[in-house]
Amino acid sequence: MIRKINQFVDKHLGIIFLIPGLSVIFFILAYPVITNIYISFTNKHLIYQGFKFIGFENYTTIFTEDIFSTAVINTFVFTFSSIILQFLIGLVTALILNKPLKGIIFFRLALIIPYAFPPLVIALLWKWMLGKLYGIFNFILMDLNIIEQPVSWLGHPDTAMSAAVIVNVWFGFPLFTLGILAGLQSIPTEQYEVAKIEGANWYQTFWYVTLPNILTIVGIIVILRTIWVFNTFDLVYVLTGGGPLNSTMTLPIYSYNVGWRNGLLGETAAVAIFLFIILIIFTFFYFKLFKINEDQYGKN
Amino acid sequence: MEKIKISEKIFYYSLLTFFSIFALFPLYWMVATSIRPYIIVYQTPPLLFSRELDFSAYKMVLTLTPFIKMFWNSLYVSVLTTIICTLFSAMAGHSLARMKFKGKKLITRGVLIAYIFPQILLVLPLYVLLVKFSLGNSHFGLILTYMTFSFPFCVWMLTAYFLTIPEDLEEAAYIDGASKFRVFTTIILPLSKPGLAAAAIFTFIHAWNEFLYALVFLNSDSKATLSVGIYRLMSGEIFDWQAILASSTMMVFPILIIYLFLQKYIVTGLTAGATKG
Repeated sequence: MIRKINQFVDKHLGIIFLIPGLSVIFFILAYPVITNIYISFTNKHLIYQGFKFIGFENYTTIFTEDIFSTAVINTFVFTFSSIILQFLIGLVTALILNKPLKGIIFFRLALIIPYAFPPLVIALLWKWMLGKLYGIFNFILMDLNIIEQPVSWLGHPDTAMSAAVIVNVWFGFPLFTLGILAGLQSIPTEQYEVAKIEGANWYQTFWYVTLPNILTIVGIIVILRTIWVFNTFDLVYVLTGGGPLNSTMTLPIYSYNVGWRNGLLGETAAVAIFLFIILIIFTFFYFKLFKINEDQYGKN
Repeated sequence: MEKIKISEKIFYYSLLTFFSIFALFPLYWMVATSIRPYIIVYQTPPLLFSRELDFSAYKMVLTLTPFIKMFWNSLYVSVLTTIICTLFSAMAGHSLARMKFKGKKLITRGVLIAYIFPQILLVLPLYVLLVKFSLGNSHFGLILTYMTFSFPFCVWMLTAYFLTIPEDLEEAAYIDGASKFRVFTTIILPLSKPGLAAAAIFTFIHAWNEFLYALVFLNSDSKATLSVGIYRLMSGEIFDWQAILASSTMMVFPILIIYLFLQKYIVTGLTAGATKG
């Protein structure tokens, strides 16, 4: 009998090994998402009991709201400016870290420190540094004669978004640095030797040897970072709460406010679904662009 | 090895120094603010360096706030999440990397899609679900919800890692009559220590740093983890920057230690699935 059980386990181990993880995932992902889609078509409220099916009303409501379109635009601005800056800093630092320089280990360690910080702490810390009265940032800029008066970076609609982007760049660039560095280190040295023999200058070497070799890893990091930044809630929420005057209102914060402040669970579900659809489109687009597909990791 | 000109070297070092200051200054400023006398913290213009030390903010946080309790809560939640998630994802990853069965492609794709689920999309339905199963305001419920992010990520990473292990070893073991389970525990797992370490570190750090779920799902102070606890400290009546930054320093510290000593695993984790596979 025991032998039979053992044989059965051995034969179906592939499925058996998937069961614990997949059942948790079904319980906490699939079921909630289906519930969420359903709720987005109802007028469910956080406090009031009872709700009914109202079709696409939540969607039409959010699409006509000004804050919603502001949030969509802000989310895109926040995401793309963060990603571009993170990528550029990551590329520059990785290219230098790949050089045979003394003390490189120290710099590599220093450059990944920001990524260790919890988003909550990042937001609080930068709030302190960017403050108008005691913030060190203003004093440094005044010392360097860049500004004359202290600026309330997070308190003014014109500067709040840029400040939020800078904070997010600080946090996220190390991932690009490390990823691109790993990509650079995997390039065979023969390729550089050939380029040298052919008489290529540094620009040609970069364009024809370095770049093609790191394209895949850059693509994957860009996808992952874009998804994460697009979903960022905690950092911006603690930093500015979406203000002032909705200048940093992003879709995740908007969704949170609609649901947990105003109690409109149906609407918050609709916003979340909208966010998710954008992300799926993104991911699809990127995967096509970088020719990455699931075979890359699911192949046998 | 290529020779680098002196002028180039100066250029590289100055860029590295600039970005390192950008990266490290906030850390310095956080610690510095938290260990200075009150008077120096609020003087204008602020002092970049000060020799005077004052640890009263730490004393205040440790004695007057439930910081220690919250620290243990965070540790408990993070360690349990790490153990469960690493175990489940190692099993699932092994299955996806080695076994052949129907619907594998579908599951692989599902994991990939699960990975991009916005947290904000899940927060409401998870709340409804946790309350329904009486798991609201419980650490167990929170640990389950942390799997939404960590499990897909770890499966992705570990599958890629397992694929880099040559199959010859396993085949030799099968010829000797070993069962699949035995091969998994005696060959695959020991060979995958770096990958498993990377998955565990990631899960731990994510659970330790997580904010939104802890904020929404834990509503009693005795259950609060560090991120919610510090946030509530901030939104309380006293807005004491030194206390906030002292507790922040103590929250970041364990993660920094992990970064210092386990850096190579973090790099493995970040690049698995990208350079390999």
